Formats: sequence, structure tokens, C-alpha cells
Amino acid sequence: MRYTDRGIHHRWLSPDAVGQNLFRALKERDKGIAMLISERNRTVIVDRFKDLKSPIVVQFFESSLSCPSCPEVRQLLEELCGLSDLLTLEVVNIFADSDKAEAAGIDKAPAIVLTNAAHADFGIRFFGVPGGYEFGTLLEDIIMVSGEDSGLKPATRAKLATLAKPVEIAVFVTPT
Amino acid sequence: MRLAHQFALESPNVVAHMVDASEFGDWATRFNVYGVPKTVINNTDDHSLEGAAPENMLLDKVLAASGA
Repeated sequence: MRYTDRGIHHRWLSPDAVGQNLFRALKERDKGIAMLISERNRTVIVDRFKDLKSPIVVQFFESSLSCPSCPEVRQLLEELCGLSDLLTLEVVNIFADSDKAEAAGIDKAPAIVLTNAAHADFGIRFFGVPGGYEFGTLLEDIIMVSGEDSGLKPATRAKLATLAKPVEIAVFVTPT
Repeated sequence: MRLAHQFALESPNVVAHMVDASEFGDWATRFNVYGVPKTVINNTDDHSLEGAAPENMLLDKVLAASGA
């Protein structure tokens, strides 16, 4: 199964899964053969990206220390952003470019922040590998941000508009 | 997961993180994440949710956490 296939089950934490995928991906990459996004998935994604309405900047925060999955996530994003002229990848090293990382409030890697062309931050973040089902989330999010429409029900929008204080939501997942 | 990001896009007061619990084990342990998905709001277990949450349920939790 390719890394980006959506085969998805909520399951108990499996710390080994990401490591095994990483190991396989890096090994194949060393042989110079592997794309992380399969040909079939590329075709599907290019078709989905026809829905993109405005340019998106995908900011990737990486670290050269203690981040074994960073090279893999970076490659994944490079491949993904290559699939549409409306997508730009910006890579920020959280230590070398600490000013930029602090400005975005990012102190961990790998992290992904989706912004528009003017770098407006909508508070959409991914920490870790956006693999498996969460790769689908990343694609949907990119299309959503590009259209600047949350797609929520009118009643939900009205209630959210009354929020007076900042709220931080963290959703823990395991990309499988 | 996507619902939280939809909330973030809709409201300038909402920030939403997807956290890979296997990569960020310490973060997950801090909020007693034994199964996924688990949603934690404002860094406390007071308004957390286990399993996939429908729109209304997440909204209620977010409003409760913000004191609305």
C-alpha cells in the first residue's frame, strides 16, 4: 500500500507504523526509484486540484535534529505542491529560521501550516506525518482554504462568530 | 480531523492542530490519549472528546471551553 492511500481505521496507537513507512520510503528513495505519491494518486489529486480557486502557501517547518520523518514529509509536500501552479511550498528550519518559526508559533517539527498567498494564517496546523487518512485531510484542507469557505452549517458559523476568547483544538490521530 | 480545521478557517479565534500521536508521544501522553481520534480543547481534558465528533458536538465543546 502506498503511503498516501486512504485506508482507514481508527485503531490503537501503533508507534511502529510511521517508522516502518519511513524506513521503507527512505530506502526506496536512496535507490532513486520512489515517489511517495503514486502515479494513480497523482492523477486523482490533479483532478481534485481543479477545484482550487486561489493560491495557497504550504509552510513546512522542519528540523535537522531529532526529526527522522522530516525528509519524508518534505518530499511528500514537494511532490504535492508540484501538482498545481497555485501551490507554493515554503520550507522553514525551526532553528535556522527561528524568527519565522516563532512568528507562526511553531516550536516542533515536522509541522505544516496552510496560508493564503498573503501569508494570512487561518490557524490550520499539522504536526507529524500527514499520511494515510490525514493525507486526505490535507488535500481537502488545501481546497477549502483556497476557496476560503469552511463549508460549515449556517448555525455553526453564527455560533462561532460569537466566540470572544481564543480556543485551541488539538486532534490526536495516528496516520495509518 | 477536518472538522476542527473547518472551525479554524471559520473563526479567527480558533486554532486547530492535527497531532500525529505516534510521532509526538509526549504530547499525547500528557492528555491521556490511549485511542484515536481524541480531541483536546485548550490544553485540558475538561472538554475533551473521544472518537469522531459530529459538528454540533464539537461546537458545544468549543463554546463550553470558551465560556460562552
